[in-house]
Parts: sequence; structure tokens; C-alpha cells
Amino acid sequence: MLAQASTTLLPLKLYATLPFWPLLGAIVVGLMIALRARAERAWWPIVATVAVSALLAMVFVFDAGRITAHESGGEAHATAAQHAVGETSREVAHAGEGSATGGEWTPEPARVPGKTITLFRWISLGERTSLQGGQWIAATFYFDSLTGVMIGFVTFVSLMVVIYSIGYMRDHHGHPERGYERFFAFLGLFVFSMATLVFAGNFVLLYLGWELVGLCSYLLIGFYYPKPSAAAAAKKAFIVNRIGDFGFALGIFSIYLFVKPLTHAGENPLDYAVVFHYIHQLAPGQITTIGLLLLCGALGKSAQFPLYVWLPDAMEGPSPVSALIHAATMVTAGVYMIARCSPIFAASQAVLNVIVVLGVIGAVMAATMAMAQFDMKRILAYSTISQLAYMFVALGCGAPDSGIFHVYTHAFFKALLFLGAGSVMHQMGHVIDLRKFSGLGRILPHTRNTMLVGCLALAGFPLLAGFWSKDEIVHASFQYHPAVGVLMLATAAMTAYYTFRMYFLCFHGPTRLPDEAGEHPHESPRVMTIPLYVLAVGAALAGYLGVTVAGGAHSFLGFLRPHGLLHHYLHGSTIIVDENAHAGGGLWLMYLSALLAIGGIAAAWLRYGTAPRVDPDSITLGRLWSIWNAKYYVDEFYDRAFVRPLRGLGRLCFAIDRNGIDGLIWVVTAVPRGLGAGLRLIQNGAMQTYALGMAIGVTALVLIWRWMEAAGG
Amino acid sequence: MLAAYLLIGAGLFVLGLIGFVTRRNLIIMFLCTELMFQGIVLNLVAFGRYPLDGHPTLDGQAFGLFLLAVAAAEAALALALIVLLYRYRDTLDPNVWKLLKDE
Repeated sequence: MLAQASTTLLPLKLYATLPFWPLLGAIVVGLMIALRARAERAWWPIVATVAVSALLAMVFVFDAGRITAHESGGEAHATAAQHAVGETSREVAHAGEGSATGGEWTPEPARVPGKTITLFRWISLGERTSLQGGQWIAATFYFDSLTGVMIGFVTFVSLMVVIYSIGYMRDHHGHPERGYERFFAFLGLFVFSMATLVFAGNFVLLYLGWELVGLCSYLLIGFYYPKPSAAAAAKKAFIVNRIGDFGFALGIFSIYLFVKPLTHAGENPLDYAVVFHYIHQLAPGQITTIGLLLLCGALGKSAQFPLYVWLPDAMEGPSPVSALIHAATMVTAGVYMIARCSPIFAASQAVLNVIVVLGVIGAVMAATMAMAQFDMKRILAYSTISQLAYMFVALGCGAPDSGIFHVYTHAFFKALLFLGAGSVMHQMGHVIDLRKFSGLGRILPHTRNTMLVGCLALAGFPLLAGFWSKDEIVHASFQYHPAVGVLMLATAAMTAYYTFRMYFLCFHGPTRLPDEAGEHPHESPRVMTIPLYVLAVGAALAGYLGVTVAGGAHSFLGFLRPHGLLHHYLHGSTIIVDENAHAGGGLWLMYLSALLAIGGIAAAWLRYGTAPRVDPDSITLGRLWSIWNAKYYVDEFYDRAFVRPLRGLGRLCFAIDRNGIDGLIWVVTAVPRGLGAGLRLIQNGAMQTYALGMAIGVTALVLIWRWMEAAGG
Repeated sequence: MLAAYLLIGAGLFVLGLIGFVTRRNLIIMFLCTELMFQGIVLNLVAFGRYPLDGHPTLDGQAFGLFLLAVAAAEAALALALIVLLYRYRDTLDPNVWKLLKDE
């Protein structure tokens, strides 16, 4: 039965084209720019190609589940059949070994249940002696159910964002902004990068996607590059990411260094399959080293403490870019990478503990900062950091499936919230400060409705997407340590509070408008509101892929039980779940977190329901609030501790270069220069001086000749 | 006898050289170059008449005639150049022409 199930709906080679469609779109738009086509049309190649990718991804989600279910089951049971079926894709020898032993299958802790597709040989490792003309790092794609989940929501959310951008990147008269076509080209490139990152089958290709994503974020955050703050934010994002990526690169190097001696000929020590197969043969110190270095990369890319500072500044980019970065194509990469490498991380409890501690710090810190901001998009940015920290806690607690579940639900409601905030911003003349407007619910009804769904989902309101995934993480964190669980619950309450503080300040109270909004602000065009509604449906219902409808004593409200389809789907991918993290009934916890979410919303309603002009919290909390408002002075601290010393070092190097090195060169050049200055006096242009010189020269030559002849005999 | 001819030749040449270097008139300077020519021609003719191996030939005189012809052609060219230069600057002083000087 399992062997039959392995036949996929579409050929795997077709899925392998998925990332390249948006790239094709980006190239077409690039050609349009080169040929000076009209800017208004620039959206269609990107929308069309991302739509193709999204459609492929929808089908792929089913096939990826089949592949994973078959491969992970097949390794235990039908080894021979699996060997026959897997011949097209099996480039790596790992499973071949398992089946060659003929039924003596020992449970490997690191299962590698996916299918690897080799696109082409990419980088030669330069060892011609080893096997068949040397070893190669191939461009490989790796398909399993984790890939399926990621690529599914990434392409879907990207499609919604791209459609929304058609309307967003225009002014009120429908004329495209300057750089409209450039924007779409970058969006296509961004989706391509993220899809490559998700599909990558080895660490080198993963790193390529990783860096491409960083590049695209730089290009898009700095989209309004004439604005100094946007240019600075782009640089900040790129440089902070670079710090993380440096660690990530070192992690990949150490994988190569440590795993290489264990591999047999023909095995690439950078393939996921090979690494996960041999990871348990490494020394604990080696695993910890690899884990910490990889984590370093994830901290930068996923904007976690202490490398989160770039994310709030990244709000300088256009709102669809924020939505894309926060929901689909950038910050999820770190979570995905850790989940993908969970065989590595699960092997080192020390690294897991570090992840939990950093996650808890990030979650609480970002949530408190979010409570004291007025920039709508910044509130959402801090909320993203906080939610990503939730996912990190889940990863650290040994429940990466819950982390991936939260990434998936979070993508819907966070994209929705950013696009909603963008809609507000678009109609308010690019003003996003909550102090400058209120009561927009009457002017922007569609935005208000969809934002309400998004806010409820983010707040963890019962039965919406965020509730299910967040509750699982809280549950896992209680299994890890009660203190972590309590902090997670507190963060959940704060999340509900700041989300609805933002919502009430924006949409409730008396209608106030900024001057920039113009005379008659109105609802955004349908090309923007329809993606909002689609995402709102996702934000409401996405969570039901992770719950089971079942009655009984352990069910929420008597008929819903956590741990659903999604978890079964992910089961068998590279994700390693600590079963203890899910053990025990957490029903009281679900009711408690539901209560906290509703309580947070109610508290926000009491304090901000009328959208007061003066923030009541700033009066009540006083000094604490101003620390939150100043973001714990972390930016200032980094400025003092790192930026200024480094700038000083730069000045020192510059001075040494200017005075020391250049001075040395000046001295060296002074010799010919002085000689030249002396000889230049002789060349005075007077014909008679030259004649005299010639005469003296000839006489001298004759005399020397005579003297030499006399001396030489 | 050879030494006397050579001394006169050398004297003509040195007189011409001194004149060329010291005078401030292009035509005089040109005449001085002619003087140096004649010193050289005298040397050639003297070596032809009193060769070191003792067998006189006409080679020296042939070279002398040849040089005179060349000098005549050169005189025509040089005088034309001097006229042109004079037209540019209204003077025959060679020191107004210092275009080869390094600035």
C-alpha cells in the first residue's frame, strides 16, 4: 500500500521548477525596464509567476506528505520496494545502506525521510581521487513534509502580498509610484530566494538562499533609497544579518570539518541526509559547536535577541515588504532552518537550553516594547519578534512541530496585519503614528473588519488560528520548565493587550485625521481589500489543520483537541519531536490562555477603547513605560558598545593609512622626484645650451676614450 | 705637414663652436656652423693627401666635395627657416625660441 502511495500527482522534476518561476518573472520585469515598457504593466509577470508557484505548491503539499509518509514508513518495512521506487531520486547512499543489510534495520535517531532531487553539479570539491571523477556539491532540492508546509504558506502569502502591491504601490489617482516595476522585480527575486532556501537539499544551497533573502531584504527595505532613514535601515538590516550569517557560515564550515572524516566515498558531507545520518557519531562538543554557530545565523535572520534590532527599522520599506519579510520570506527562515536541522539541535541539550533562554528573553522584551510604541508598523514588528521568540521557545523545548505550526498560522495573521496597516497608511498619506489619527473604522470598514480578525488571531482569541498554535507552545514550555511556561503565558496576555491597544487607537474613538490624508480619505481599492479578506479567512481557519475534532474529557469546549492533521503530516520529516513536550493533558492551560487573551483584550478596551489622546499607560507606569518606549536603550547601547568603537577603529585605520602608509610611499617617491627636479633645470629650452652640452659631452667621451686606451695599454 | 692641417681644421671647428654657443644672432650662428663644416672638410682633405699608411688617394677630396654639396642644401633650408622664424618674432635672437623648455 505504501509503495503505491509513492506515485506523486506531478513529477518531482516539475516541483523542482517551482522556485524558478518568480525568478523568470523578475527577469521579464527586468527586460521590461530595459526596454522601457510602461510601468503600469510591470505587475503581471510577477503575479502570474508567483501564482504558478503557489499552485504548484498547493499540489506539492499533498505529494510531500505522501513522500514523507512513504519514505519514513518504508525504511522500516518495505525496504526492497523502496529501493526500487527511489532509484530516480536517490543520489545519496544513506538509505541504500539501510536496505542493503536486508531487514536488519536499526532505528536511527536521525531519520532522513525525504527525497533528494539533483538539479546539476555545482561546486567541485576538488578531490579527483575519491570516486568517479571527484566529489561535487550538487544543487539539490530536498522534498519532505516540512518543505511542503513551508513552501505552501510562503508562496500563498507571497501571492496575496504581490496582488495587494498592485494597488498599494500607486497613488490615489491610480498612477504607479516611481520604481513600481523595480519593486515587482525585487518581489519576484525575494520569493525565488525564499523558495530556494526552503527547497535546498544541502547546506551550501541553503546558505545561497539565506544570503539571497538577505540581499532582497536589503534592496526592498531600502526601496525608498533617497530617504536617508530608509537607506540607513537597509544597511542596518544587512549588517546585523551579516553578523549572524558569519556564525552560520562558520557552522557550515564546522559541519564539513567534523562530518567529513566520517563519510564514505560518494557521500557529500554537506547534504542534509548525510549530516543527519552521522550527527550522532560526533563528539558532544562538536555537536554543540555546530548547533551554536547555526543558531547564530538563525538569530540574525529571524531577528531574535540580541540581533533583533534590524527588524523594527526595517519598517522603512513599503508595507507589502514588511508583510513579506515578517510573514513569509525572511524571518521564518531561521525557524525553518532550526526545525530542518532538528536532528542536530536535538542532539545537544545545551544548545536547546540556549535557544529557550534567548527565546524567553526575546518574547518578554519585545512584548513589553510593543506596549509602548505609537508607530503601528513598529508595534507589529515587535510583535513579530515576540512571536518568533515563541517559535524559538518551541524549538528549544523539543516541540519543533509546534514551532512550525506557529510559523504557519503566524504567516497568515501577521501578513494580514501588515497589509491592513499598509492600507491605513496608504489612505492616511503615509502617516502611521497612532497619535495622529483615530476612529478610522468608519472610513476604512473593510480594513477594520479584516484587521479585527488578524488582531484576534494574534491575541490568541479562542478558536482563531493563533490560539491553537500559541497554546501548544505554552504547553510545551510548561513541560520544559514551569517558569518558562509562566513567562510565555504572561507574554500571551501582553500580546493581546498591545495588539488591541493598537487596534482601538486606530479604529475606535472620535474620527481624527492627519493633514496628509487629504480631503476625503476612502477605503482602499478592491485589489488591496480582497487579499485582506483572503488572509483573514486564513487567519481565522488556518489553525484547524493543527487540531482534531474529537469529543471527550480532554477536548477544548468538548469537541476540539490539539495535535491534529498538521502534526501527523510533519511526523516523519526531519523534525524530531520530544514526545514529553506533548505529554499530559493541557486542558486547563487552554482555558487559562483563552482567559488571558480575553482578559488582555478587555484591559485594552478599558484603557484605550475611546482612543485617548494621551496614552494612559505612560501616566500609570511612568518611568517603566518610558524605558519600554525607548526600547530598553538597546540601540543606544549597541551604538556605544559596538558602532562607535568600530567607527573609532575605522578612523584609526584610516589615519594609519593616510599618514603611515601614504607617508612611506611619499618618502619612496621623493628620491626620483628630487632627481627630476634637479635635472629639469638643465632642460631650459635654449638651443645654445644644448649645443654646449653636446660639445662638452663629445669632448668628455673622447677624453675618456683616450684615457681608457692609455690605461688599458 | 699633417699636424699643421689638422691644427688649422681644429682651430676652425673650435672658432665655429665658440661662435655658435656665444652669439645671439641666428644668421651668425648659422655662419658658425658653416665654419665648423669647413674645419671638418679640411681634416678630410688633409687625411686624403697625407694618409697614415703613406699612399695618398682622392677619397678625402671626394668626401669634401660631397660635404660641400650637403652644406649648400642645408644652407638653403636653414636660411629659409631663419626667415620664417624672423617673421614670427621680428628678431633673430635664438633665446626667444624656448619651446622645448620644461614648464
